[in-house]
Formats: sequence, structure tokens, C-alpha cells
Amino acid sequence: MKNNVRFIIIDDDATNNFIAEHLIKRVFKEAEIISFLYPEESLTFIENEYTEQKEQKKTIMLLDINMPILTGWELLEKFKKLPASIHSQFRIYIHSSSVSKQDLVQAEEDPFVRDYILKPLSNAYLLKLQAELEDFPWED
Amino acid sequence: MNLLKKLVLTNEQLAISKDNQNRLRESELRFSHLVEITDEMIASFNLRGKILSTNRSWRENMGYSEESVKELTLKDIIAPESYHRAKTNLNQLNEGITLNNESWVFRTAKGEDIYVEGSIVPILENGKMKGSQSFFRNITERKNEELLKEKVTNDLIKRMHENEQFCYIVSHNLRTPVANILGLIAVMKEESISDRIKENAINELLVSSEKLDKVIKDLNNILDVKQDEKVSKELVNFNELVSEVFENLNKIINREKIIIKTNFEALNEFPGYKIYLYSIFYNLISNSVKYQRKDVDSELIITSELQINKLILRFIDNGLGIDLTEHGTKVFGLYKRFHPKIAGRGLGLYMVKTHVEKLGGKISIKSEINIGTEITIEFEI
Repeated sequence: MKNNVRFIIIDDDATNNFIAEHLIKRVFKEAEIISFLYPEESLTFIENEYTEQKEQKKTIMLLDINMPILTGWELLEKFKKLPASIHSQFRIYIHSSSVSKQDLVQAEEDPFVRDYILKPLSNAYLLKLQAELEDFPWED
Repeated sequence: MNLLKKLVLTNEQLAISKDNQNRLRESELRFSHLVEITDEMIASFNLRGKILSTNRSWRENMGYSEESVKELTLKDIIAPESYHRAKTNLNQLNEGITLNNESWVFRTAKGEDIYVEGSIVPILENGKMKGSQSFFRNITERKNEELLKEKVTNDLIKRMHENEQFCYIVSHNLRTPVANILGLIAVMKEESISDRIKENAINELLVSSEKLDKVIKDLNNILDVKQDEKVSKELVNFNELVSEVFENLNKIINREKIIIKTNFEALNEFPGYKIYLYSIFYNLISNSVKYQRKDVDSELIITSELQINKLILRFIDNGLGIDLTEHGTKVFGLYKRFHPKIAGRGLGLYMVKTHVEKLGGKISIKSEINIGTEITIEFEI
């Protein structure tokens, strides 16, 4: 279970995605990682891939907030409108460089958000995430 | 005997009554004097709302003579915005209800609106409604002060909100490359990383450092605009401005074919700070050049137009456009971008707006995806 997981990184910053992909690969050796520079494309991907018929890998989403066209918060609102069967396949983490209290509070209050990861992503956080996946596996 | 006694009494009564009449007349005189000297605007109306009498203050405030007042009806003296209320109020008055704490807008003989506050009482005779009498104070001065205060407060709140937004964006855009630099160093410090990853990381370090540098330089530019009051005003020629912008754009971007049509017949010169006007023209023209549609002959039309006390500049292109129903409030925001696949930093329209406001003007936008964008700028002259 712990390695059979997919990461979806949604961030318009390519450097961030390079760092995150590299660090994730080190901790989750078997994990599949898909990065999206354009948030709209990630939504299309989710809508097409995560249907009720198709069994998908459980997915950890790292979602940036500040993006052009569609902000992370706006994307999250669109995600919420998808069927519940899709929701249950995701664990969503806000992954942002913002230290604004407003963003922290919003993340804390949103039931869809599991945690707020302040950039840069660290090895230590990923190990914690791995332990958490073992302790609290996805309910089927 | 009885008859005589009665007569005497009647005489006494007559004497008293005469005295009363004198006193009554005196009091009436005193009263009508009071009515004339008070600042309260007093008027009486018949049932149909026609004016029967007015006092001095009413006529002075409203700008009518004693003669011209006689022809007036409610419609002449009440501003359109209050007229509907006045009519419903009239119904209440007809039921014998006194109206207190009324705020109305009157229209004077000169057509100016004045704010008044006061009460209207029904005049009843034997329980029957005869008309009404109104007592109003002219509170225009106070009201205007209140409106001004409200406007100043709203402007301040708006400015404060913009500043908060500015701080948020700046802190975010400063922190993003810093977080990347920290992350990249963490990657490089790891044991057993491949040369390829290391090389990538070094390249990315350069990219992030340059980004940080750019944000700091942007900040410098933006804050310069916000503070620099010393630049001098000059008469700026629009045609010259456009050709100057065009030359400089040629140096920087390999501009694709776009036809720029200008019409500054209405006004070709404007007294302002050239650096701001240059920046406005530069950013708007370069936006139209950058965000062209591939399937049409691109065109940008720039015109000047004169309206009462106003200069209006319009920049109309047939480019990619922006979906305003979704992004309406953000278009002029700092570091906001709407075409992520075309290079840009989301600074242009923010700078344009800041510079337009710096020159005391207003800016608005109309835009539709795959149709084009129209930017309108207004300056008072």
C-alpha cells in the first residue's frame, strides 16, 4: 500500500515541481508522479481518469494556491463539484509558499484539505506523510 | 330686573371678548412674524398638493418669489428621486397621520437639489382632511459633508484593501523563489544524487535567483511610482508617443504583424507626466502585440475623444481577449496573468492602472475571448 500511490502536483512553477518530484521519488520509491503546470489540465485529467468504472491508484494531491487563470482555491471548489466517488480517491494537501494567515486559516477550515505544506517540501515531511499512510490507510 | 341683569352681563362679556380679540390679533402678529423670521421652511398645501402659502425661508431656500410660488405643485418642487415617496406619504397624510423625521430632496427654481429634513402635519377641520403643512430644515450642507466623508472613507477602505492585496502578492512573490532556493539546496545536499540532477538543480538555482532579483526590481519600479511626486508635467503628443513606443517595442520583442491605427484628431496633446503616459501606451500596445489571434489580421485602434471636461482614450484590439465574467475583478491585479502559455509577468495592466490613477484618471475594460479587448481611459481636463 505505502508505495502504490500516485502523486498529482499542481503548480505553475516548474522549479517547484522539479524539487517536489525529486524528493518524493526518494521517499516513495514506487510512486507514480504526475505534475501539471496548468491547473485546468489537471482537472480535465481527473475528470477523465477517475471515473467510477476505472479503479485508480489512491492519489495525494499537492495543490499550489497562487496560479494564473485558476487559483488553487478555485480549483478546489471545482473539484468539490465532482462525484463523491472521486473525492474518496484523493488526499489533498495545500502546497504553497504563502505565509499569509488568511491562506493558513482557509486551509484549516476546509474539510477537503488535509494539511498545509509550506514550501519547500522537505524530506522530513514526506517521511511523516509515509508514516501517516501506514497508520491511516485509505478506507475502501 | 332679570332682563337688565342679563344685559349688564352681556356688556361685561363683550368687553372681555374685545380684549381677547386684541390679544389674539397681537399673538397672531407675533406668530406670523415668527413664521417669517425662522430658518425653518414652512409651506401649506391643499389636498391635491398645490401650494397655498409659504414663508420667507421656504422661498429663499427654493429660489421663488411670493408671486411665482402660487403656480407650483408638488411635482415642481420635489426631486424625481423623492417624488414617489411623496405621493405615498400624501396618502398617509390623507388618513390624518403626521409624518415626522422625513428626509426629502427638493428641487429649487434653478433646478438644484437640496436635502431637507422635517415633518408634515395634516390640517383637519371637523375631522375632515383639508390639506397639510410642512416644516423642513435645509440640511444640504451637512448632507454634502456626510456624502464627502462617506466618499473619503470608501476611497480609504479601497486603498487599504489594495495595499493589503499588494503586500500579500509581494510577500508571496518574494517567498516563492526563496522557497525554491531552499528546496534546491536541500536536494543538492543529499547523498548520492546523480550529476544530471545536480546540474538541473544548479540551473534551477539560477532561475530562482533571477526571479527573486526581478521581483525586487519590480518592487522598486512600483514603489517609485507610488511615491515619486517630483517628475514634471509636460505637453505630451500622442502621435509621437505611439511611434516612440513602437520603436522601443521593435528592439525588445520580435513583434508579429499588427496594424495600429490612430486617430487623435479630437486631441493630440495632453499635459501630463510623460513617463506615466509612456508606460500606459507602452504596456497597452505591447499587450495587443503579444496577445494576438493567429487566425485574423491583427489590428489595434487608438483614439482620443473629447467629452465635457473629459479626455477619453480608447485602445481597441481584435486579439485573444480575457474572460471578464470569470476574471473581471482581477484584471488589473498585480502579477495576475490570463494567458499562461504566452510569456508575461502579470505586471502590465497593474502598472497601467497605477499610472492612470497617478495622473488622476480612471480606467475600465471590456473584453471577450477571441473577439478582442477595449480599454477606456478617462482624464478630467
